[in-house]
Amino acid sequence: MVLCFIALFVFAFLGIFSAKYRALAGEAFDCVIRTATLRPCQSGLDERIKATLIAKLLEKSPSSARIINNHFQVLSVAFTLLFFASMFYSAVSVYNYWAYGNCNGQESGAFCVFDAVANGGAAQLKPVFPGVGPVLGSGNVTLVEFGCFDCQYTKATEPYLHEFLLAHPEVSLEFRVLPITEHNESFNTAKAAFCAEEQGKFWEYHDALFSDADHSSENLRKMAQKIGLELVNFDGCVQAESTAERVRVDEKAGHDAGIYGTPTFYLNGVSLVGPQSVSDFESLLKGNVQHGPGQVSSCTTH
Amino acid sequence: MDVSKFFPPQEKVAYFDSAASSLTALPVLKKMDEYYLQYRSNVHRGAHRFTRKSSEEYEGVYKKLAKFFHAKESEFISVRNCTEGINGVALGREWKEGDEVIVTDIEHHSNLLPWLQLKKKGVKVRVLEAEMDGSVDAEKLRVLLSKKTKLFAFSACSNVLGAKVPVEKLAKIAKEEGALILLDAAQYVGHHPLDLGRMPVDFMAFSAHKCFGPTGVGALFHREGAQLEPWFVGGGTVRNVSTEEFSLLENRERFEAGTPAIAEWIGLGAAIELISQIGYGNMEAHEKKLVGKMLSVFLDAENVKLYGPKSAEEKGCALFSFNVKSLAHHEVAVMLDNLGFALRSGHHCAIPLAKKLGVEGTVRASLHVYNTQEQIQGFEEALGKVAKLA
Repeated sequence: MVLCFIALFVFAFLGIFSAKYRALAGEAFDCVIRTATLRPCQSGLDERIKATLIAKLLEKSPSSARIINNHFQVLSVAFTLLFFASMFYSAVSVYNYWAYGNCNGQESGAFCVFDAVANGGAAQLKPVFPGVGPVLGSGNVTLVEFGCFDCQYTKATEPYLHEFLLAHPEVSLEFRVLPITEHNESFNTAKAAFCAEEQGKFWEYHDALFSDADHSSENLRKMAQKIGLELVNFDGCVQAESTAERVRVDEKAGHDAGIYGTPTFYLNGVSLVGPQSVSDFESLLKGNVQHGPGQVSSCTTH
Repeated sequence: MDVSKFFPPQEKVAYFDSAASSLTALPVLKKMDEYYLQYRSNVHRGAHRFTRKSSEEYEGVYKKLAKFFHAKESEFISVRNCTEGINGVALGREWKEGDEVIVTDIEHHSNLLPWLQLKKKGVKVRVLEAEMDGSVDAEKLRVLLSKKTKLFAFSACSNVLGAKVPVEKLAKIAKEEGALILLDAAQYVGHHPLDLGRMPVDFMAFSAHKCFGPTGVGALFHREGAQLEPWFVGGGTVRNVSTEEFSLLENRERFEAGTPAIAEWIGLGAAIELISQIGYGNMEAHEKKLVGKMLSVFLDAENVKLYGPKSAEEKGCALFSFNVKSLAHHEVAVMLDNLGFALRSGHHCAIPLAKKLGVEGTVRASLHVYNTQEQIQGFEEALGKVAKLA
């Protein structure tokens, strides 16, 4: 009987494309209504689905068919629950995408199932030239990152990026800011980071920004004080138009390159959008990643 | 005799559902095509060449039936199916309160409900209990018979159990008490010869679609002298009509109101011609081999319960009802369908029998002359796979 719930959704969807499934969807609907009103399902649709599945399996693997037949009720209940859970999370993801521009939710640090490397392709972006932003390390291979301090995907990539850089001293990291418009404090945060750079402590401040999500002006000052920045200069720098202009330079560079989300990485002439794992960076370094359309979760720019 | 040339090929699926409806023979389709393409017209009361031809072909079927069953042309009525024929007898006879009808408890609904309907007229329906294997004890019949018994209605072969029924013996016993006999021959015609000239049967009904013919037509035999009035009237049944009254024709046409199923009736004629051409001797010999093989399949199979007779001698027709342990009958039928075998599942319109057997339903394999030993070998393998699921 539980199979009718899944059958209704599956056949209704298939019925969009083929009339033969519409009759089955009708049967499934009748069965669901009967079940919901505590009446026995009379169509026998669930029996037919079960028997058809078992018969197909009988030809391939009789022993598997036997196991599934003996535990069919439990399995069908489990699949039904999984189906509805999957539907629920899909709906949540669609809502998140509509509301926040990403499928994982506003404050989620989780990686998206989509991955440019895993999906065999990276985003096709115009190249950017290194040597503009603050650099970590002295390796002769430069990994350029366009990131936003208020983007959960940029933040989520940090530990993997750190691990990768430790393992590969030949790689240095250049950070370019790309504040995401939807993140209200991101522009100010980017300015504060540049002001920390002026006092030679960009990377300490960078780490502090990713470890503390409160990027209010007051807390930006506190973080600056905590890492030993001189606050009068810091405040003046943050207020200076030249600092804002510097942020805009990075913004323009990112937009001119076609970058649509953070983090975006450049290495060996290949660009990748979205959070990456250590192995992704390894592949990028080895040149195993080709350009191509990538579907990724990222903080989207406007 | 190779009969495959007479039937549509069973390339992907072996057809094991002939008790529900047999395959339609190619000569039957050809004959019906001929009617529609060459002389399509209504029968009787017409002067043009087409109606003359269609009437000739239509009337010719009565002649064929008479020859086939050793009876008279006038004793056959065109009906929609066996069910209508039986209903016709129930509705077309006069019944008095206290009259009794005997039926067995293994009948198809079509040979039970028409009699149960008569209870409204005060007719008592007495039930002859068959044995669990479907055989019928003549002594039990004797106990039920009385002077009040007006009719004994029974199947020549159960559509679920397939047990051999001693038709002639039972009919003679009932006739001795003065009861009329109605034989439901739905599962019999097309498998075994039925000599109505010798068999003491007053009414007999069968459907064309179970013996290679088309759907929507059958025949009711009513022996000359056995009282029967039309159960509905209309065009073609009357001698004279005024706005106040009418008088019916005397011959069988009085039973056939309205335009009959002309093409189908002509198709039925072609079907019985084909049966004659193949020969009952050949058919019975072939089916006997199939029955023996199928019985060994079922008796050797694990987790399979066969209902009805377990020996070929006790089998009256080539149908086998069974269940697989712990599997629903519909599931088994769907699985076997996926494995290339078309079988029917359910109560087979015999709910009292299903209750008697203590099941909701069974899977039924029913064979005909076009089935082969090779198909049964394949079926054995498929059934084995399904039975191992239990």
